[in-house]
Amino acid sequence: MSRDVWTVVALGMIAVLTALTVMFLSWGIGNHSVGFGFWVGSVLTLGIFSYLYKDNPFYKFAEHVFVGVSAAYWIAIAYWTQIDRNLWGRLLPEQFPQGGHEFNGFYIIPLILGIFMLCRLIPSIGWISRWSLAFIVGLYAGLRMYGFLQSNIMEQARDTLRPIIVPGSLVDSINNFLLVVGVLSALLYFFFSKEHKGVFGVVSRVGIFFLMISFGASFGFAVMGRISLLIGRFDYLIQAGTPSAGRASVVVAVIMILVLLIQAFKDKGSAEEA
Amino acid sequence: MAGNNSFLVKMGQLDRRLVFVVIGIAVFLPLKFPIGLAVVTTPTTQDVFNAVDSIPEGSTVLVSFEYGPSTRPEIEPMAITLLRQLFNEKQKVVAMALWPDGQFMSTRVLERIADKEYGLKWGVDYVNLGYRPGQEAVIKGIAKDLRANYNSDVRNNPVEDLPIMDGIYTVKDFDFIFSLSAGYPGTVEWVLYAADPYGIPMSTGVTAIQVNEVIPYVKGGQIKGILAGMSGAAEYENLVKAGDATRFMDAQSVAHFLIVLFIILGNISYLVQRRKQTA
Amino acid sequence: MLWKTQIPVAIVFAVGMLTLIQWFVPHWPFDQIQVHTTQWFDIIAVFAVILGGLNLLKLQLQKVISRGRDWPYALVTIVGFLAMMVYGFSPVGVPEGIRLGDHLQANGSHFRWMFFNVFTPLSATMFALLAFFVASASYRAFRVRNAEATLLLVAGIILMLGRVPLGAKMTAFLPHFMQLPTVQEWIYAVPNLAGARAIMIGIGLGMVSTSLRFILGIEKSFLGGDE
Repeated sequence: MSRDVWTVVALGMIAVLTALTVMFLSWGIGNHSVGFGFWVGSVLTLGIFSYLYKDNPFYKFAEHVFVGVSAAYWIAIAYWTQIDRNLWGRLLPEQFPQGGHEFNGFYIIPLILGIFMLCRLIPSIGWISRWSLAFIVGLYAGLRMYGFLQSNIMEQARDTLRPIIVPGSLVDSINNFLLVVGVLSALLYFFFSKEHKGVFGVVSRVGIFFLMISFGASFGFAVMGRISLLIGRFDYLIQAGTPSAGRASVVVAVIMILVLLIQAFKDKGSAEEA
Repeated sequence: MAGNNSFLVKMGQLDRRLVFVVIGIAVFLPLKFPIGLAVVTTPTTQDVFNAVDSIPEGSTVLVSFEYGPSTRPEIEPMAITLLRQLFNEKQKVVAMALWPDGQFMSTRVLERIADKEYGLKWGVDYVNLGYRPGQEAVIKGIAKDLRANYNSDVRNNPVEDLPIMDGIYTVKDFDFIFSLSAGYPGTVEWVLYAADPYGIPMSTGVTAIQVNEVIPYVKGGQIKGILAGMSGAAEYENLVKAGDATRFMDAQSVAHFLIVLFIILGNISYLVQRRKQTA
Repeated sequence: MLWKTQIPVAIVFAVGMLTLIQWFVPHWPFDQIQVHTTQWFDIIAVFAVILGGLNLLKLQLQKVISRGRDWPYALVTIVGFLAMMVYGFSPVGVPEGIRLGDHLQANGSHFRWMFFNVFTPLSATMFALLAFFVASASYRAFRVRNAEATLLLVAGIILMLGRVPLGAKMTAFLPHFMQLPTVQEWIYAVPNLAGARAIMIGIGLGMVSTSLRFILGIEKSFLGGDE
């Protein structure tokens, strides 16, 4: 099949498949919203989990659905919450009264910069998107420079300069001392303009110890967070496995495991033959 | 002895799929058959409770939803408990979101708590302004003029018609900010562009992964307390009303215990192997 | 040169300076400039999101047309994208009496259903999957090779156990100051804080200097390769 013919066939296929998908989903949502949801959710959840066994078609399918659906989801949300209300609402207030704004002609500027941004899709004029990017970079720089200076540097320095001797409390004195030593030594460790030797080397090594404790804590928190998310998914699967949900997750799991097992045996068979 | 040693070395080289299965079972069983371990509240969680508790009755609190489905198990229990504490103390709640998903999360939680559990009135006791794209620029924008960006709520009611928004023109008019955050933009941005520059009291509930990024602000007094991950949520529930996070703590405990066990086994195997090599 | 480099650098300078100034002069006209430039930013950010989506569509279409490796999956992505676009931008699945655009959150809207039953399981499970890999990685890779690694592991383990109810129960027989939650709290609030704060100050210094470099036109990496 020539490339042009294939292109037409592919576009036709996309149109038909999209129409069928929408019809199928709309039928399911319209007639059995909750039960249908558990079935779809179970297929997708277990599809992703099947990756633990190995990369396989269930996982690939779920992953690709995710990419497509999330891109469209973000576009829809971003458009209706911002462009519809705050851009059209200001440029064409009569046609878009939901924004509740008055006409403001200056808003042609972000519209133009937005269109420039889209020009990135066309390589020959893609450079014009630099103008829009420049606006974004400039605003970020202006916001962050002050924000980080105040909250991450000044405020942190202020709270670190604690009294090392707290009358009446040995524990507080030790803790404050450790905090001051820890912050200063770890900061010195980040100072690479001077070789870490002699007294400087000793201090920066103390700094490493504090940093390691901090990384250890981050690691502990990372484990904690991931396990929590796993608990959430398992809780969902348990819910989807109840009789009221049609035991969707159980049925889907059994089918997936069977298919993967059959596939594994087939692969093994063909490997032995070869 | 040699046999023992090779067993110990093998303990450090189990197939990773076996590890997966063990972790899966460790999470599944306690969910299905709860043990009911008692939750102990840590000081930073107590600080959050106290900070929210000390807001004068009838204040208007801004609750920002910066999380999505992927982090819902950690943050949603915090959101539910926070709303309960706020509504118990007759505070008014204005919800917004810096994450697109946050709007769905807030809608879900408000429907359940404000509407069904407390029977409160939209626009009077609470309102949901929804999501606006723009990350920290949204915060900076509403610091000057909230209505330029949020002219209507998610139900399309003009903000000027909502009694709860009387007298609220900028972020500075809120009595308290609470950020329910799972990353960027979230707690850090609220500190940088609202709490610190304008001196608005704020508190936060974050995912476990974010804790270390935020903890210096908490200890520096820029944020009042912190709910750290799902265990933080369970501790908070312990102070207000038990919910999902408390129910999930058994599974969390067992999974942590097993992972620690795995690390120890892996290291015993490593040390035995190292001794063999040096011998 | 003028169009491709100098104008973008000038825009960064002007916008950066205007944003910076209003932190110090929060009065007219700078306060009004801030209200509107942040809005413009928000609007341009939406176009960036749209650009991302269209770019994805373009790449996947190319893959299907050239019948590259795994092209049927590219088809899955495109169909998923278009189906969600139908629910986002057409009257299909919009409940009666609700305006298109207000339907995203509305009860009974198909877009909302798709969020909770397609987007949610996928994005939540993607993240949950990492739990298994974190567990397996900590088992296989974390070794007490030297003092630093040991410190990291011990801090991690104490925190992991000390923050869950089981840790409290396991050490309940010990004196209070030796119980896991107490030790955990101390590590978390003192040495961990010192390390985390040093990192925060480091990031802050980096961010301030990078911002300044952008505003002054020294840093031009955002322009991409060919100037």
